[in-house]
Amino acid sequence: MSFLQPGLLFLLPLAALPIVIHLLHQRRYRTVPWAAMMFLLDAKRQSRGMARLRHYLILAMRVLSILGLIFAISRPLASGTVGWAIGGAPDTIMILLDRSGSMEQQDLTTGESKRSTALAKLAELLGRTSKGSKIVLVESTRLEPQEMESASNLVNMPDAEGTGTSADISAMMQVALEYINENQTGRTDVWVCSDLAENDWKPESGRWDGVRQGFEGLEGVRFYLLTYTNPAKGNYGVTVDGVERRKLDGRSELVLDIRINRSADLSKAITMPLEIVVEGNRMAVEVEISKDQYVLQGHTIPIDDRLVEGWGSVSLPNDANPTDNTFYFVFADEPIRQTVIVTDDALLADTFRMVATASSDPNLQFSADILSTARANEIPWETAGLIVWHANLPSGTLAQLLETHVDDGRTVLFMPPDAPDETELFGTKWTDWVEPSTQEPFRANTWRDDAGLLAKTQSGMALPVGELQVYRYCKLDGPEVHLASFAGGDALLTRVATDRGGVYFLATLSKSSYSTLATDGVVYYVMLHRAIADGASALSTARSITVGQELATSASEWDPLNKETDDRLSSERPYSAGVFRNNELLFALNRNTDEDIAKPMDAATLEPLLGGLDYQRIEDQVGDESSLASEIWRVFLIVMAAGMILEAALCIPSREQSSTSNLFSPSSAQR
Amino acid sequence: MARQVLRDFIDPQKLSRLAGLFLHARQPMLGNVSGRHRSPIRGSSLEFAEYRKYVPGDDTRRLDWRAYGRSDRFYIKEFEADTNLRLVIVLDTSGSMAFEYEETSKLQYARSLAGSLAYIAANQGDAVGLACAGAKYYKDIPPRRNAAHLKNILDELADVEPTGETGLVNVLHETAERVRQRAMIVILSDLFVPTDELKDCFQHLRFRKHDVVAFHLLDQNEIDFEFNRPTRFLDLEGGAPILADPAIIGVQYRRALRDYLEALKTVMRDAAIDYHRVLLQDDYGDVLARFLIGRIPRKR
Repeated sequence: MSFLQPGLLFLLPLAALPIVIHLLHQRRYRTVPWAAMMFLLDAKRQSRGMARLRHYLILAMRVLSILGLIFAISRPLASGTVGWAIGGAPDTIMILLDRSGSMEQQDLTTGESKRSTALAKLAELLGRTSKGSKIVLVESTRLEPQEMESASNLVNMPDAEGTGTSADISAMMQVALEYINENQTGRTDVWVCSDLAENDWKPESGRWDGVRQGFEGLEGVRFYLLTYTNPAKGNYGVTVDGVERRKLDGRSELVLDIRINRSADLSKAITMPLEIVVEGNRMAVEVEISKDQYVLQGHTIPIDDRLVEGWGSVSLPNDANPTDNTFYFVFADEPIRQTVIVTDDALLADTFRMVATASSDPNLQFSADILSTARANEIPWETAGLIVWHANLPSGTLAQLLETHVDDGRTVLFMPPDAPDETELFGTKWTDWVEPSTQEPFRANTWRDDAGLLAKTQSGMALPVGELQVYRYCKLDGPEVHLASFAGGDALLTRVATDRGGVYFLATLSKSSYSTLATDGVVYYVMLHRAIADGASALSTARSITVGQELATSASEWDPLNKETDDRLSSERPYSAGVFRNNELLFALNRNTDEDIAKPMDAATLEPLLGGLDYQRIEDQVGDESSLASEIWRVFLIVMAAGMILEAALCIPSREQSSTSNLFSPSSAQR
Repeated sequence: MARQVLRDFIDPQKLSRLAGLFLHARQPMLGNVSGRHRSPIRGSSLEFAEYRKYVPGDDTRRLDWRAYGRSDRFYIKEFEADTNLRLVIVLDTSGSMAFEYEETSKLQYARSLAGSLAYIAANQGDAVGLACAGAKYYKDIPPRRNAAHLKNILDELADVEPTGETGLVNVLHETAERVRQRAMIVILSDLFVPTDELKDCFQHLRFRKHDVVAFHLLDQNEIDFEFNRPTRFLDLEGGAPILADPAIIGVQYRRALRDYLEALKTVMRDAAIDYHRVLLQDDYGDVLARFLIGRIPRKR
């Protein structure tokens, strides 16, 4: 418990005054010659029970009354169990602030979000109780400890405002652990403000074990989880899945694929105005939503023929989470989707060229160049979106160029050579070819259909990956999690984790002696064209980027295209939605859509993450105005009054006591 | 040389106030000489008692000839016999009688009552005796009716000292046995004895047809038990002292005292004892006056 007048607590020993007086009283007895000893002996024998207890209760009530008075004038602060847990101001207070999009869920009546409620309460609590404590903020976007002068700055500092990012709580804990170890922070309270969303806490992350063990070895570190797990009521989120500028019958138009997710009452249909902005021009579309998801596929908006690039947004009316109400998009002329195939196998090259240049969209241009391994240094690095490498993994300069290609956000697809060597690239290398021991070909039995090259189509159809027959494949030594794998766990297709760009390894070839990739061409076609599209997206001058991703340029160089985002600090731009221009590049920053499905962890999932640590969870409500720490002197005054009343009640002489005085009235002297 | 004894326990002024009052027995007494008290046998006093039929052998001189003239039957006219009484004062001389809270001890008070009663009885021609009931101090003076005997009793009262445990129960049983003829037994004690034992004593005395009077001496402080701090109580009868906080045990003490007094009252009522609770704070002259007035026989 903390106190506004802690100095008065030095009066606490006064509570022992009744006991001291009692003891002195016991020692200062007087001696009286007495005749009626037989009654004294009786009384002494009987007083061992209730009478003695009553006497001690009176003593206890007196002590309680004094304690109540001293605590009351010391002005204690408490809120439920928190108050009792706080044992005075610690040396350091670390605040781990989850600034993810889901923390912006708000109470529509007060306009307060989960994040702002948590900050306001923490600012108020720490403002009262943290005198002399060092306050350090670790927020989820930068993951850097920032020392603060005052807790009151929490409510208006730009670094604590809402974002559309996802958080990684385990990484924040790691930062806190490192800070505590480096700075020897002494007794430290760590406040974690979060909505306990699974995608932010990532309970499956391997980092948790290390973090937990690190904190277990520290003395005097306590955790307070200030959580807001109640989901927002009546929330809608909008996403633009595709933007395409095309010319049809001589007229230019934009084609938008819009998706609206709904977490509100699903039992009734609702008509909602959808605001679409293109280059500042607004238009409204009314949509009727009857299920949990509404998809407006291929919505066309006529545009000026001269408008070859631009930006726009799709917005919903304000609701329980403002961060998912607007989705920005940019558009520009699509670049030529150029693929370079490095192989010495002419047959494979032809097949690949045929697939790569087969366009399903007349507005897109495709090209494919074939280079032998001897001419690999002739790869047009500037224009190639996808490089298909069918040869032993390169080393030296070529390897470095490939890594740069990937760092630029483009894509490489490796195919196994006939005779693999020991070269390793991107932490992966080819090992041995494998053939079936029976006539039965290999088949993929598991593959990811929610994202990646083998994801379901927009119409929700799954690719027939399981129908592919593989007669030979080359084993990989590298990533353990694959996009598609055989029954034994070997990869058919795998992706190497990278910060940007895509690195894929396909374990077989499209030739008929290796697999049915070419003959059952659907999977092969879709897979390659998705890889081409991924690679080409880095070539386009219009890019859609998720907030929080690392960008090559500094945000201070960005020119905001939407006036609404002008007022933000440049340092905050990468973490919130908006549209910007940087030289030739147009880009739309949008929220991390994982936050749309933020599901709070239950206690059973949380416990293993923090098990063994000294932590306390405080569940709060959005917009709740009650203080985390309120003055509770009234409680102690009531305790004092109750103690005094009880003491008085216990001191009232019993009827028996008063009746004995009548035993000897003067008239009773003679019967 | 005659011993000089201080008899300050008797106040002549109080005795002179009681001069018009006499000590009456409540039941017939068997005395040796004529006196103020009824006798169970008929006598020759002036007070008519009853007529009864003549039976052969009766003294013909006692025939009432007037009654024979009216009824033609022989009747004997009988008169009450008046006799003296034997007053035995039993004085508790145990250590507890030394209790004094202000100035007067229980024994002092008992001396005043005993001396005054002895004087009144001797003055009206009754025999007076004294028995001191202490475990360590025992003295028995048989009842006699001369003036010199009164002096002995008063001397003894002046000399007696409270000490040791009480011997009241034994003394009462012995008195019941030793005093063979009907007598008035006056007990002066604080009666701090279990009521069961007292009950036996009183029934024994009543069985011997004694007229028993009990003056129960108590101090107001013993009843109120009001002390404002822990107290070490010294047993006046020599037992172990008790250190107690009256604030804790006060209720139990008063409850025990009340139960004891209730039980004692029942014992006294059942044994038809003339029981008087006396506070040391009361004036003993008033106590005696109430006692003597209460004993004046009703007119027949």
